[in-house]
Amino acid sequence: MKYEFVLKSLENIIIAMDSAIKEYWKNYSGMMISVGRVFGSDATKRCLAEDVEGILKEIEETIPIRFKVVNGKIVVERCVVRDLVDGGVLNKDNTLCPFIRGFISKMFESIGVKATCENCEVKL
Amino acid sequence: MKEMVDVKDRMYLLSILTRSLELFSGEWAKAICYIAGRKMSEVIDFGVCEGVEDCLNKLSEHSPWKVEVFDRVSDEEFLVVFKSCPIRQTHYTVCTKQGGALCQVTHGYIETILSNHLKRNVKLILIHPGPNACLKRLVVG
Repeated sequence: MKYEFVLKSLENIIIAMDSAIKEYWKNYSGMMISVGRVFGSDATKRCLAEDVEGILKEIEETIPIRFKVVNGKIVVERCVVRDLVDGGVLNKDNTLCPFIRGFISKMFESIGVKATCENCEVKL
Repeated sequence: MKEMVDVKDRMYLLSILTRSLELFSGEWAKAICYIAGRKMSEVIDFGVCEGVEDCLNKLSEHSPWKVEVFDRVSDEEFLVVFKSCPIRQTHYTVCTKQGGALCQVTHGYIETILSNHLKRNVKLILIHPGPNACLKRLVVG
């Protein structure tokens, strides 16, 4: 019960943050990609990974996300934003998804790989 | 166990998001967090409140924030103690510094609730952030 109460209040804060960002920036999608990229740029300063496997591990250690490789494809096994969307807390059109996408693409750029995260799949 | 992981994940997400906004827009991150706090308080209504203490008691009953008046400096100035705060729990779980942009969520939330119920301007000023409680100055204008 105690966890449920804390969880609910944290989710309310996330909903409010999402709503505030949407109100603050009309073109929030592009802005949040930039925010994610800035965070990625900061994270790569401490990153020693040199290959795709290493960078995936680095991303997993930085944000609550888990990847798995299926038939050579890198798919998102678990993602906190997807959990929130599936749980009905956030809309599909939220500000956090572009943020995560921007972060992932910047992290991959640090090893010289161009990557995009589309439909919960990382395409190199 | 799953709920514990979920709580931690959401705390991480909040902390990362705020840190990124601070890196991206500097002081503007505080404004976004303050607006978020205000938005959360929009749906709260305790009915009639008789003074600051009564309002804080009702707030403590209905929200995860537990706030008490520590000292009454004057009729318009109070020292208040934040005994329980989800934002402080987030700071201590994720090991981030208190008093940054994320704390503005609390300020926006509490200030708006108090000013809506008391029909007066309210300002919160952080005096001392602590691991188990935060001391703040509450000024009613």
